Amino acid sequence: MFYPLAGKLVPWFAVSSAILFAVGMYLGFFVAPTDATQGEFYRIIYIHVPASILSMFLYLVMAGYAALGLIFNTRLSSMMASALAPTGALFAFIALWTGALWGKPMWGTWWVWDARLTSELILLFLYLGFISLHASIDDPRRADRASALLAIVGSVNVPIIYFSVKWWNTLHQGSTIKFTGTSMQVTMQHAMFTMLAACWLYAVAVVLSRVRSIILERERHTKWVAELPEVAL
Amino acid sequence: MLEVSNLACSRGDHRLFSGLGFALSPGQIMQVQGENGSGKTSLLRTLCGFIQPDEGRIAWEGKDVGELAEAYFSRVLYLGHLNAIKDELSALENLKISAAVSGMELGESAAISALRRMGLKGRERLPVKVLSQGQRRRAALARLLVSDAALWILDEPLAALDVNAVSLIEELFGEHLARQGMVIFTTHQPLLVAGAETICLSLSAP
Amino acid sequence: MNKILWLFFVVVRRDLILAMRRRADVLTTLIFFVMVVSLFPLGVGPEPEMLRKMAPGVLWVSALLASMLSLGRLFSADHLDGTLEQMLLAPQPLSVVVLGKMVAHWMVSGLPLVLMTPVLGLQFDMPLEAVGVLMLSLLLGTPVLSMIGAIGAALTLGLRGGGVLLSLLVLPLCIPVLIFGTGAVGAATSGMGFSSHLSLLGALLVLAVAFTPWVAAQALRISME
Repeated sequence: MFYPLAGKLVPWFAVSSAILFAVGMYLGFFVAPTDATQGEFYRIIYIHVPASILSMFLYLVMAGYAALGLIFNTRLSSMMASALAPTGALFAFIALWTGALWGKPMWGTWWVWDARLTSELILLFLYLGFISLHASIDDPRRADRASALLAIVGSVNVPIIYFSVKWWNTLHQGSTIKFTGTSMQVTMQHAMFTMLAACWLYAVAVVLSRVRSIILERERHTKWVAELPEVAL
Repeated sequence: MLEVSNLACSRGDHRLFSGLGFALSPGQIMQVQGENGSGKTSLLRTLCGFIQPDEGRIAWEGKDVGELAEAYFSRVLYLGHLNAIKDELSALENLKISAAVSGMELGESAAISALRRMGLKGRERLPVKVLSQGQRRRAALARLLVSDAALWILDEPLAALDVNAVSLIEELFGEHLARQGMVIFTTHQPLLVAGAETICLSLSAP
Repeated sequence: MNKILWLFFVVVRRDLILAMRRRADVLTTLIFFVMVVSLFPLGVGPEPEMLRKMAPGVLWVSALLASMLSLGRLFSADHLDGTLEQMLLAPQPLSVVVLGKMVAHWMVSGLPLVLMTPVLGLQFDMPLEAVGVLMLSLLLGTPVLSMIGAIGAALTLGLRGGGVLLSLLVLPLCIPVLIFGTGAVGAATSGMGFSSHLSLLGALLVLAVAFTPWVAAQALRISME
């Protein structure tokens, strides 16, 4: 059964994520050199970039699980999809927030209608749509299947949206921003990858523990749940 | 020939029935019995393919209904609790459109004579919203007269009908069975079809 | 093939007849569109230069909102009186029925907006050519809105607060249409070629025709369970 296995794995992922966070933060904020053009402010990318990468990646993973659940009618994959959504939305939100914090000192404004930030915002909307559709359907099976279909439609649409936003951005010429300086120093890269791995592990830990509670909720009438030590209390 | 084996169905957490099996051959009629909430409507909707069963198989002439899809749908006539008629349209328009959606072109005169037989003479062209509940049910049931479907699945067909209409429905069932049709229905009223024995399927709450 | 076409036309004709019997609903959408468009100058001020620049965006966003408004009724009325169940039992693929309903919905709620555009364009002092391009872009784009919207309408069928949820689901998916639609007008007014925008819109329309009926049909089956 998946439930106890996930229960054993969660602490490991959580602890290693915490360690990597600490290391990554240290590398990023104390070891990595100050950027020549952007000064100290650039250091926020150690949070911004991993968060935005994960937010996009998690959407695809979520859509993949949703598709599996829809096609093969496996309930665990549907539960995984609904467990992934809040974490993905959180990362999208963090990416937007840090993007704004980065934008203020860099371009003097909290928000620029840059292609990447705009796409990130739309991605957040897609996550919110998925979560609210799932939340407003009472029947769990219909909720799973309906939101799975939405996730698939969304993931097919994401490239079209990204392309159109990019195109819109170049047309309006408002703010073309070059991310990432010409070459990243090795320590910067290390810090970045450490943070990415930390976020990744964090996502796994959180999603696993969330899927555990979803399983408990869905299976609350079954015998094995009633016999669990933590429930029997 | 409709064969159902080991069928299980649930709504939310609640298991309605499981291990249900029966077979219905041409010329047979079956009444689904059970208390309120025992899953009669869910069973009928599952037989129509609206609900995917949790377990089990529904086969039409030996083939799985899910694979047959549209080929099976064209053999089924379903009438649920709702009348499936539009208030804005007249009984005549409703009948013609629902026949068209089920793949049949229905002539004006055939439609009018069907409605007259259902006792709606002189009301064929009135918007349905001015008719009474019983008359609406009659307008909905007029589909039985014009359909060429082999399997009728009727959920409470007698609701809101008066005595005359009930005997008319009994008559229609008899004609359909004589044509080697099949009927599955639910009702809380007595319904007797002359010359045919009604099979009873009881759903009891688990 | 003939039977499929026949079912398609039956559904379109049926929905158009129903819409004609309930003309008030059609008019409400159109009036909403006109009102939202007319509110913008009151909100941002009457400078003709700015209004001219804003016009395509304003009209497009208003068309988007207006079509969201009417989408709630696309399947729900048929769901409530049981006719939708009958359509699920149609002997042809459900996507044909859905496509028919999409087309009828567009003819009732999208086409009137396109026809209304010239009048509103005058309100915003748009040049004649720009009005023409705007109409073309709306003509290509509003069917896509109806089609994507139908997926949302099918997914939110029978839910509490379905209308708001519907917009939440559908609006992000409509962004490309909005971008290419307004982009075409922008390109036309700045003297650049607008054909690439319109052909992209056309491509979106083709994609939508190819896939959305099937997806919406699946969504309907899920929601009708």
